[in-house]
Amino acid sequence: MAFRPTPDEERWIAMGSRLKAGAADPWLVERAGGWKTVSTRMRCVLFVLAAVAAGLATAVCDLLHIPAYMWLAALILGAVAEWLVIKRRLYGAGIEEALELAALLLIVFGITESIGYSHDVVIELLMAAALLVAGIRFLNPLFIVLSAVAVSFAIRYGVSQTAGSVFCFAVAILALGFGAQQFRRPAYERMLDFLVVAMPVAGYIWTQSFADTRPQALPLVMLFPYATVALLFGIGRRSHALIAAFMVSVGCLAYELRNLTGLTLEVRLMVWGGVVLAVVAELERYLRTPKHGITSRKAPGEDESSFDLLQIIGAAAVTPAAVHDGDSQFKGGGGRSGGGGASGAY
Amino acid sequence: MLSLEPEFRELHAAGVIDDVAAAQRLAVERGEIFSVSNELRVALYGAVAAITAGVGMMVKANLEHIGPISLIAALALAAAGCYAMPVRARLRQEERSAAGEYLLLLGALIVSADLGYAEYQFHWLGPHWSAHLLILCVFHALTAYALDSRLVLSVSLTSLVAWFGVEEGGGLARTGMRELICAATIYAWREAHRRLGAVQQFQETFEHFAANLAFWGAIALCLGSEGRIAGVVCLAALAFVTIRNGLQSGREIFVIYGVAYTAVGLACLEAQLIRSPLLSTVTALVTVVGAVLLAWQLHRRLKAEAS
Repeated sequence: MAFRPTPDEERWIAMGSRLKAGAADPWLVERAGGWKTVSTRMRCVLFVLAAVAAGLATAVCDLLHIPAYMWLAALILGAVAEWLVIKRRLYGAGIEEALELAALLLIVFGITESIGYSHDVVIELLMAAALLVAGIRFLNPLFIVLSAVAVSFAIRYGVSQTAGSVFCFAVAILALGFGAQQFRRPAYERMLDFLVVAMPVAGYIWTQSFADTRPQALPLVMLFPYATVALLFGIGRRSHALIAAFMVSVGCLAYELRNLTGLTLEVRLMVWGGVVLAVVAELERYLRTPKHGITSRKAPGEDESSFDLLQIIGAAAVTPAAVHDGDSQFKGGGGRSGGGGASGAY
Repeated sequence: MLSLEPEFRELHAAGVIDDVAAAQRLAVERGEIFSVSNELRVALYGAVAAITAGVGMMVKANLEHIGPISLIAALALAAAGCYAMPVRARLRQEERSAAGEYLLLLGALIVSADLGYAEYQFHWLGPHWSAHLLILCVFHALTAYALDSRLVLSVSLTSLVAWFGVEEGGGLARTGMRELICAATIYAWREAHRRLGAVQQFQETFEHFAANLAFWGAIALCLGSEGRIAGVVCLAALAFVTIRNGLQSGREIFVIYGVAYTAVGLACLEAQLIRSPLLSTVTALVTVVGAVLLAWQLHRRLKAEAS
């Protein structure tokens, strides 16, 4: 009875994903240990649907006026999740992750009801523990990150905002350091990748004081070196996560220094957008021929379909809406009835 | 760092992947080739979004301060500058870079902002002001075909959708009908595109827009008090067609559209029609669980067919 794939099985599952292998491909069947997984897209959809199902199941228990319905629902959902993993051998399918997380969170809510909602720090630590258990059980990097963020919430409300921020940056730096290790399990690598990208953002958010828009010392002291190290290590280790961490850190820095020049917001957006466009265009041209193996061309065998869809959505999202003159006689849709362009400002 | 080099070597030795593919994959796993293409594209998108937002805010903030002709001319000049590099690359029959692609997108977005501002300022089209969206749709479509750009095609389709648009107070049924008609228009465009043997990569863009709009329209119809039955019929038909299309072409995303949108539509409909909270919750639970099982089965079928 296996509770999760072995490191070798997990590596072969990752291979199957990279090579877009079919379920019945002999080489995958022989090596993946019978574990069933799905694409990231399908995993997200199944996770959401299963989470909704978990919520509805809990609601049914409540509407039936079952005593201690949260504990009962937690038991049922947890049992189903474990059955899906142990008997049906689902791994990273979204369904079992949502059900188990829902079960653990229901336990937290049950405890919270008992102790009262005023114990903020305790509740946040319980949430962190639930997320950590789910993260370790399913090797889910998102749960691990959310657990760390929940701990930072507890520190922020239990100690101070600065302490919460320092904790987040400390986790990010530790994850960056551990990333140098070679892990057999791809899941460990993914956990560290998520932490190096997400924790600096969480740490930065904790430094924000909405009343004071001047640049603060702590984010500058933490983000500048972190961004620099992330970029250098990202290039050296060939890590997309570290380069993403560099980009988000630069984004946070840009936001922190937004009032430095005294320019209006629209001018800043256009100027800095133009600068980034020019720099990236030049970088792309420079890296068209690989420099020390780094290239701006797509890697061979890279699956672009998800990114292409994101680009289509992104282009549609930034298309300006029409300006609707409320005084004019409104006729649209190319005829006498029906709608016209979307109203609103740019 | 994770490296699947041993696994690739094993598959190569077993003859599962050929020499060329193995060499390429091994080079990537060893870090001999490291592509930052996606990172650069994300940065380019962020830059374009920032500039577009800045342009919009500048236009809005200076409506009373800058002469309209000056502003229109300045934006037109900026757009022309953005188009220059991609047009030059096209004329030289050179491959357009990602930066060129996003510069072209920026030019298209500035044109949209410029024409929208001009129409707002001068009311050239009078009561038919929204026709400027149709003009933009046609202009961007011509540009997309001339310069072979999916991003600009997305802008064109978004302008078309905006032209069909949502009228305030029109009600869900009318909104739903408009979205369905818009989806049908896009699908007809896609069919004409396919029959004329035009660019293959545009077809998916048409299909994504048409599928999403059609489902939104069907769900809107389901939720409105009028046209509910038509909405349910449309939803079912769309689910069948989209899922079948996804299975036949091996594209999982269309299977996801078919299952997810139908589950959402049915769950919302059940919540509206069934008065008893317990019964509606149980019905919704059955619907969602059914959707999960269906999605799983269809996924397994896709994987089996991929073998």
